[in-house]
Amino acid sequence: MRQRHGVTAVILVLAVCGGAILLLVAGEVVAVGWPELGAGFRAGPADLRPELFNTLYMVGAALVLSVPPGLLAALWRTEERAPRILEDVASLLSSLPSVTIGLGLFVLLIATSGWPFSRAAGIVALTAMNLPWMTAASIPVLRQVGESRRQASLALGASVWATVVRVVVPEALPGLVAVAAVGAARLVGEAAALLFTAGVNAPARFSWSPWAPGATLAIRLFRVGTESLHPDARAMAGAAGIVLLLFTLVLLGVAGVLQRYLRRRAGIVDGTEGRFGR
Amino acid sequence: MSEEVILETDDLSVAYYSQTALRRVSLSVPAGTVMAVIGPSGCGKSTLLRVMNRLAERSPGARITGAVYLHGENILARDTDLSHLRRRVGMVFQQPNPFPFSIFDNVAYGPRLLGERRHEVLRDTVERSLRQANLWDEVRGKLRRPALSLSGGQQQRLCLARALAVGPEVLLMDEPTASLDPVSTARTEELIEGLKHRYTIVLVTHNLQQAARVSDYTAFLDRGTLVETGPTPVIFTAPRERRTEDYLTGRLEG
Repeated sequence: MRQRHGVTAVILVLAVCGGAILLLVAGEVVAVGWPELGAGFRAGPADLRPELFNTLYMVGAALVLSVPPGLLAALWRTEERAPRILEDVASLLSSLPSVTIGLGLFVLLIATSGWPFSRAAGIVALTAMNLPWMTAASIPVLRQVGESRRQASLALGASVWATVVRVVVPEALPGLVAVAAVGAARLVGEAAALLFTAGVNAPARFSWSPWAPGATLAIRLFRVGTESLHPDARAMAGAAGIVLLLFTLVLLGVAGVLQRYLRRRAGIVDGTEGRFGR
Repeated sequence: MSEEVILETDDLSVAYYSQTALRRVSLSVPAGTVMAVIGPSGCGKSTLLRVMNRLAERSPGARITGAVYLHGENILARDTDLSHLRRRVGMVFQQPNPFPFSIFDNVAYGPRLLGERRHEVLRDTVERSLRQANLWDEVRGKLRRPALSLSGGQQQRLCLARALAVGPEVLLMDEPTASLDPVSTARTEELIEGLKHRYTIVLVTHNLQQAARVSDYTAFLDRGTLVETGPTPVIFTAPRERRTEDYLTGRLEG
């Protein structure tokens, strides 16, 4: 008993330390970036709006391109019993260091095919990162949907596809939203895969073109923080950090609200599900 | 036994990988009757039921040989329309398994699959099915409530109503009262009694009294083999086989 208390205490201390370090880092970023935050939204060398727009543009496009096929691949595995190798490859690719994806696509698209460092190349890299993640992380969520509900649907004459659309996905939706949100957060903070594909510059003038240079907030943070000779470089990097932090917080917050709404709409209030099959 | 046979298995064998679940079972179910399937745990009762609506083949490693005839048509044929078959042969499961939707949407699920969109038609079907399942009086005016807020017994009757809403000919019931309390069990048995004139019911049960009370015919399965089948009073009072007698008198592990 005393032993267990000891273990709990150690875990608690570690958790508090971890939390404190995180808060310290976040606080440092805010403290450093705060003076330049205003300048980040005005024209000038500290302007980070192009990078903010690039982040939205590229992450949005990559999500559109990767979430549906990733989900379909996961469904193929769980509902149609696709070979296990699909799942293994997806988990392997999703744990690949992103810098290797960036390097591979640099060789393929930019060095060989002559693409410019651009949003388009960045979108390809982000899609390549998120597709395996979406597949690998959705599979356990879909497996959580009770086999008994699948069978109930099939026994009423529903096809596998109708069962997916009407029973499996609606029940898994809160979990799938979480998977997509964490995927999006990963993309928002990604720098390594984009350095070699989207490049380190942002467009000088506003443009919708996918061939415009595609530096994101995370790239700006990295670049300005390490290479810039501007006297306020540290503060400018900090400002990008603040926006990046807020962006991620808002993203996960919205996902959380959406999740709660979906769960409530489905009548799955925490704890009620335990009544099932009692 | 001059009644028309609606459902019939012929030399039906099922194995999961190398494990035999059913061995050469030939069984006839007369239309408009209740056939109870009894036997020790793991004797293949549930498998027999799940072959009849072809859910058994979803289990990993399932191999099915022989034939199952519904109105003389072999439903194990490759070109059987599974959706059509499963609308004719409905199923109620051992555990109540309502969808996490409203009561209304649960019952309307089957009709909607068939493309029914008119609200008045759906409403009528839902009401009729819930009445048939003896649930209407308890849920009228609350059809928008989540199905999961109902009690276990109510959920099971909801699942029955959901199955009835697609207008099946045969109802497969897999130990439908196994998870219910005695009061709910009694209500479910009354319900079966009332339904048997309009539907043919195949009832798997662990409960011998239940089989004796509600069924017209009984089939006794042991280790995948059909030991004996016949009118329920005969099986229960004068079984021909020693193994049946042993099971009914509790000498065989149930």
